[in-house]
Amino acid sequence: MAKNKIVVAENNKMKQLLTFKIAGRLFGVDISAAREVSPVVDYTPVFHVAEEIKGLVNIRGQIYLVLDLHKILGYDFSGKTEDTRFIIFTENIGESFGVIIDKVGEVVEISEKEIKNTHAGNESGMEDLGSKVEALTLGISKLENQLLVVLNPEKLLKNFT
Amino acid sequence: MKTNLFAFNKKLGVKLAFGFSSLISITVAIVIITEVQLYELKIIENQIQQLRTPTVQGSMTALNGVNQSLAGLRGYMLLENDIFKTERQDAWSKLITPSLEKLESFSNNWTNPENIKRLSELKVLFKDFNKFQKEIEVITHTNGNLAKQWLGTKAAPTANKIKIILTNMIKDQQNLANTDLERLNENISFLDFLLWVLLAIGVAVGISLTFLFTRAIVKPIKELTELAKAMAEGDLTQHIESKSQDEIGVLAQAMNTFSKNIHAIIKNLQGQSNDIGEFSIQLSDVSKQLTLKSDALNENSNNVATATEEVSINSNTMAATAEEMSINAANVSVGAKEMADSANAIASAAEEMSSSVEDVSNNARNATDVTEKASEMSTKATTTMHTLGIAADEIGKVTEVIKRIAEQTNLLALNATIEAASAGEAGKGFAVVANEIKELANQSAQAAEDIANKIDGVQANTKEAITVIDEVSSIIKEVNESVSSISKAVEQQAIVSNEIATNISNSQTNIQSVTSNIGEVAQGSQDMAKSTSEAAEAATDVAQNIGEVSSATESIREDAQTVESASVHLKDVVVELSSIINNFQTK
Repeated sequence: MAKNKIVVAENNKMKQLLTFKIAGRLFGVDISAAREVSPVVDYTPVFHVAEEIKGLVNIRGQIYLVLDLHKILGYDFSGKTEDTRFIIFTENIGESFGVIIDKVGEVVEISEKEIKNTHAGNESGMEDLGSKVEALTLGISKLENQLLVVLNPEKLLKNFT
Repeated sequence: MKTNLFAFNKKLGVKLAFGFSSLISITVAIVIITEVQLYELKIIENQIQQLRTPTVQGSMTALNGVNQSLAGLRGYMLLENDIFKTERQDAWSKLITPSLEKLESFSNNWTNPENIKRLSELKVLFKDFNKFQKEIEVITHTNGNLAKQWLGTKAAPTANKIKIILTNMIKDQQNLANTDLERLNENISFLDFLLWVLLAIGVAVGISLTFLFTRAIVKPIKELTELAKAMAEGDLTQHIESKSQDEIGVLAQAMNTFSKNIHAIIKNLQGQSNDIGEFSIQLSDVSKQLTLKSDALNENSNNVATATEEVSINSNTMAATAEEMSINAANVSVGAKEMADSANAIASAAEEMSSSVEDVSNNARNATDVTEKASEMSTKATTTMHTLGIAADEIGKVTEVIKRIAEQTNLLALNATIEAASAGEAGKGFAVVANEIKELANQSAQAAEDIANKIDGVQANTKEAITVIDEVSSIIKEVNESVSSISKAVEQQAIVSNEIATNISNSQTNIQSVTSNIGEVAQGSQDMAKSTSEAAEAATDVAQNIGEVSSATESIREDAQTVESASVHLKDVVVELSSIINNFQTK
């Protein structure tokens, strides 16, 4: 996070976000946190671990841990479609893991100012995301016709593995 | 089996004789046995009266004599009075000697041999006793002491001996008399017992005979009486079951036969009376029917009479009508000629019709050819449309592939953007390129989507075209069918119009023959007029004859009524007879 802030500072307040949809809502992560968006979503389930861990997936000989982002954010996974994708994060964020998303969106470039910090007081009147989700959230940004919740992927692995 | 003796095989007289003779024989047996017993009683009584008692009396007399003689002797010894001497002699002469003689005479009948011995002893003792008494009597006045001595030593002991013997004899006789009495009593009680037994046998025989006679005689007679009563009351169904051979059995069989014969006669009579009853009913019915039929005949003949009158009138009318017909036939002849002209006109019209029908037929054939071609064309169009549909489907598949490629390109561009971002400032140019690629991918996806939509439109249109062509095809088929039915109908019409033409020419010839026939009809109707007037005359004759028939049936009717009343009377008589016969019961 500290590193991101440094990057943002160097980029003079402009930030590129990779957006995606979970249960119909728009979320985004810093594009530098993402390593790849993969169409391979067929994972092998593992049991007797925390329920936020779905299983393991093999992409080009490399094994990745699959986190259940739906569950973490408090939604139900409604099943695979042809738009379902697997976002793999960089080694800076965590060792060999990713999350399943319902649909990948555009890469948007927004000013860092437009990301409103939800920790500074919930004045936006937006839905209550809950303390766990709140811990994951960096802030919320208004796009042309919808809201974008910016997530901090570093918290994912630390909180649930 | 014993009852057969009484009940079945023997004659009635034999039975009675047997019964009464058995009773008589029992009575005779009783009398004989009683007589025998009485005779024996008499003997015993005689023995007692004539033997035992006199012997005892004799012995007693002898004993008295002994005592009297001794008393006389003592008196003479003491008083020397001759009175005592005579008294002693009297005792001997009046008592002792006669009693000894009596005993002597009885001894012939004595049964006890001891008594006979005793009697001979007595004789000796009495002789001695008499001798001693006489000796004592002689010496008593000379030598009184010796006399007393002799009396004590000689006379007295002898007298004692005699007394003892006599006393024993009396005792014996009394004992004998007692045994005789016992025998007498035994005989009497035996007789008594025997008489009771015989009485019982007699009563038993009498009762059993009564029972058997009742069984053998009275019962069958009662049954016979019942049968006779039943027959008297007219019941002929009864008969007696008797196997007996006696007079009653014979009588019963005779009664049975009698009853049977009467039964048969009555039954015969019954059947015959029923027959007569039926006959009389039939006769009554027949005569009734005869009456009815003669009535009907009468009515019919009246009807015939009126009918013949009507015939007469009608035939006159007919004659007039025939003349009118003759005139009408002439008119018809004129009509027939006009008809012939009309038929010619029709014939020419029919020929015209025939030719126009042929034209129609040709046109219909042409129409059939055209519709067949149309049908072929529509089939080809359908095939072409199907091909078009398949081609559109393939285009749809190609656009799907294009869409997938565009998506993959989009993902690649996204990953390229991520790579560019990680390269930092150096990757910015690359990021622009990646963005351009992404744009192109989106555009090609959009174009593919448009193509897909258009192809869907083409598919829908193709389907509609196919349904339309199918409809056209079915309509063409219907047209084809209609045309073929038209051509068939036209052919039939052609045939019909030809037939009309030939028929009209036939009718032309027929009309000519009608014309000539009608002339004949005119002639015929004139003849008929003549014939019918003759018929009218004949009918009048018939009416007269029918009148005669009517009077004849009237007399038949009267006869039939007489027969009917007679048969009714006969029926009554039969009913009476039947009720008399029915008084007899027959099966």
